[in-house]
Amino acid sequence: MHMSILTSASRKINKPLGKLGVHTILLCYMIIALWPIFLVISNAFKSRKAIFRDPMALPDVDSFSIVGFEKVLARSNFDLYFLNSFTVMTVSLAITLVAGAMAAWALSEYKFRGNTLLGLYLAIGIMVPIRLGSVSILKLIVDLDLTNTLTALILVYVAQSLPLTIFILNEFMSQIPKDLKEAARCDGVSEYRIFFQIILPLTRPAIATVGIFTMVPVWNDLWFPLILAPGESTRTVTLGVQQFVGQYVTDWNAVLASLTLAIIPIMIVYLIFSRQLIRGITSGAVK
Amino acid sequence: MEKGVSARRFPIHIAVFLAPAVLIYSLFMIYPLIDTFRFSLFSPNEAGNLNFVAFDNYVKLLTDPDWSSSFWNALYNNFILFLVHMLVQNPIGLLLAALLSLPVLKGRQIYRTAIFMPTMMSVVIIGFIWQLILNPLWGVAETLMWHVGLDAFFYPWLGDEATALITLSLISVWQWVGIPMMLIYAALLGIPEDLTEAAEIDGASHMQIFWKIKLPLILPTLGVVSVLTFVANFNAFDLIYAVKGALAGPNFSTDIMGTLFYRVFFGFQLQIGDASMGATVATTMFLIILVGILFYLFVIQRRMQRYTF
Amino acid sequence: MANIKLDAIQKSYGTIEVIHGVDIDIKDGEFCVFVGPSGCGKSTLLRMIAGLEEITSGEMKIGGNRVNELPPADRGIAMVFQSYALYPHMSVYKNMAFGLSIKKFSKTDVKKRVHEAAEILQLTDLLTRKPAQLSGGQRQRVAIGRAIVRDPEVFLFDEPLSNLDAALRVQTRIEIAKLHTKLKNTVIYVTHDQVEAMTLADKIVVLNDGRVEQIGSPLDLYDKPQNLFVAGFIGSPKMNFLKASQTEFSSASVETIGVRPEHLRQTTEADLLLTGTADVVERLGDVSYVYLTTTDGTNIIIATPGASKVEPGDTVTFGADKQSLHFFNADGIRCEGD
Repeated sequence: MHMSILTSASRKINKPLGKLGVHTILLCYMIIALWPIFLVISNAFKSRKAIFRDPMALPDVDSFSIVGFEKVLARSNFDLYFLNSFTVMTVSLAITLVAGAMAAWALSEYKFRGNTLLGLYLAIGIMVPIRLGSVSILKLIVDLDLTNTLTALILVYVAQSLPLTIFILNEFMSQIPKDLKEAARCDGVSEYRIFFQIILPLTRPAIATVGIFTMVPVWNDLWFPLILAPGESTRTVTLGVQQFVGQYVTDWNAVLASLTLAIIPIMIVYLIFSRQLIRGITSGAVK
Repeated sequence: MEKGVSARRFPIHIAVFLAPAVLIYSLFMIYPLIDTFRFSLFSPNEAGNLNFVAFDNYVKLLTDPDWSSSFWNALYNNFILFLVHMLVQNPIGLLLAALLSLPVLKGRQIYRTAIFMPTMMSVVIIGFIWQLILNPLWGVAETLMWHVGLDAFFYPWLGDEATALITLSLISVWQWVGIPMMLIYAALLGIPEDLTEAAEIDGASHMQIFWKIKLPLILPTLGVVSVLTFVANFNAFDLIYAVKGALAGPNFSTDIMGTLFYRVFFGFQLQIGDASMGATVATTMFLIILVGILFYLFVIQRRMQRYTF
Repeated sequence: MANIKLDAIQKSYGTIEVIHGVDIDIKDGEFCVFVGPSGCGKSTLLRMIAGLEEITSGEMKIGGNRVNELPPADRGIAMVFQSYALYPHMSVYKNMAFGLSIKKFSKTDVKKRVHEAAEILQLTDLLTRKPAQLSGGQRQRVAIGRAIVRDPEVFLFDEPLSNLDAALRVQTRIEIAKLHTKLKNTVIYVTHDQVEAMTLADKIVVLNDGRVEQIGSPLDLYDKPQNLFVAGFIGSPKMNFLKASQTEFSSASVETIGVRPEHLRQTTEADLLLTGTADVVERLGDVSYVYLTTTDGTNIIIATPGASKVEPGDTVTFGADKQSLHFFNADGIRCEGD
């Protein structure tokens, strides 16, 4: 076993491009991918003059300034936006995971009439964007008197995230060894307890995958905050930045600072979870 | 044990397990999609009451001069957007994936993580970042091009009708190239090394191995990538809205289905919002996406064989 | 001429040395089997001959020419992989033709060669099928066919039978042997199964831990194992080992005595006598294996005739003559008994 792993590690790259060519291309693309983000962050810490005089320079003792951040924090409720985004994301994730795991369990474990059909029904949402139902969603939210509430966003996001979650967890649950549940059944454990005390804890490894795939779009979404909860008190980060930049478009310090504030948290979370995310994609959890 | 027995009577616990997901999903996803379609069959009269008008709204959208020019313009632009993604994003994704999956590559982890980074960010943020970079006022792009002697070619691309859409498409490509890269990369990793070694012994060069062995084997993944690109592009909105606003300027040259839908639904400037016509546009988008998916499922996927190794 | 010469071949991954200087000489047309436990380096060695693995130091010659730096395709070899490595998107015909078309053979040449190989392997009716539509045995034959069409000087087999069921394994083994008699190419065959090694080989190379333990014909290895490892590895059931000090062959130079189960017989008159209690008797029909614990506590296996009357619990005495005993010194190396 260990031989074969070592084997692939010792092979040399004798591609037509050569090692150098490969690294040059990848390095160039890496710079193209990171440079714009880096540029915005580095200029956010510079004075207005320095931003225009030499955009490429890093902030130094002379040019360093956090006036942009001061302006952003003074003129908008960025902390509130973060709290809103965070609340929406965590609550939707929790509901999605529990409801999704229950449904995935029912679909993968029990044979009942319409099982396949229900599975297909729940899969529609993987491909069809929920946004296309916006006209009715807005009406529904108005009828339920939920406009400008985080609840409205949470409900929509749960509905949006469920199909993919059920799909991923379904695959995952079919890999849980049969003996485990059958041993429990022989002991007379109820179906509910089997699910909540045996199956749900076992799905923990899938949570990271599900969380990343469903919650990144939620955090980044502009559409639903814009149409369902545009009010100041329920604004999410994405909408908040969009509104702020629109309003202070000429104040470069403030614009750069607000973008930086929106970038940094995502970047940190991404760097922490990138291994899991990439493993999730490469293991074929999502196809 | 449970299977088979439970097929006769519908046990209560199955219903309990399914209920939360099915209820929320049906109420906030399926019902709105159906109701949107229903709504598109009605039109408000002068008194503001809704009348059933069957498919009149669709006829209006496609033929009425007030509507059809915007519709066809948006649809055309949307196809341009899709085309740019297919011709630029997916080939670049394929190239990067092919390089990343080379047997011994130092720094693979770093490249992967870095190139995927923009994909994780909000489209809105990405839109603003590029708007700043391409802004002649700031002059970053111009300076950069000056360094490589191309400053004469600098142009305020985002502000010109002729170039704005392509520029925005390329910004979107820049952001999303990580998705095809990762999916193709995963597919390439799934090809057993034995196969490429067998080809090597057969005398195939690395290029031949890629074109004759690897590429045919990952065709199904390229199909999935294409249909995902299609759905994402015909559902796009955020980037255009963030950079160009609901009017998708200059002069609607960047208008796509998503922004058209927003304008029709919520109104803009002098025109007030029209929920019925909004529903009509949304249902049309739904149908376009459906046609794309069905084309994939019944024409493309059927001709491709998935291989298990 | 495709004789193969490995001269002080050594392989390291970074600082870990896995092949410690191996010398092997394989004559043209010889069927040579590399055998050893898993992880002994036999597959690595084969892959180095194929050119799939770099050679850290030493020299490899095929047909008298140094091949260290040659790519696999230029070494005049063909390889059959353990997993068969058939191209799943190509028909049987295309799988076999791929290497030829890469080498720019004419269409008619390709067709002729593929059909000839298909004929030999009874694949003619399957040429249009994809690998997924074939049984395990058929895939195996396609993998061999893909090697044959290239008309190589050397065939390399990497555990080719390990994915087949027992019956098919025996059948394919015989087919490979027949094929070798017919084609007379040099063959290097890697396996962990000593029965395959014994039945197929002209020459066996026993490898352990990246070193050659012994090279010889099957009967050489069986009759004169050079050390304890080879003695224990070749032969089934395994050779019995006894401490020399507890037998009448106690001497300064001999540490261990080996005796094969099939060389012990129920007797009270022999050079070496072992008395003990039969714990278990396995009756296979033609032969019965008696598992014996001797009076000094050593476990011994004896192959007795199928009709043997020994029952579990019996106290019995077995013996063997001196010429069928193997003597090993304190380093585990074969030596002559006194």
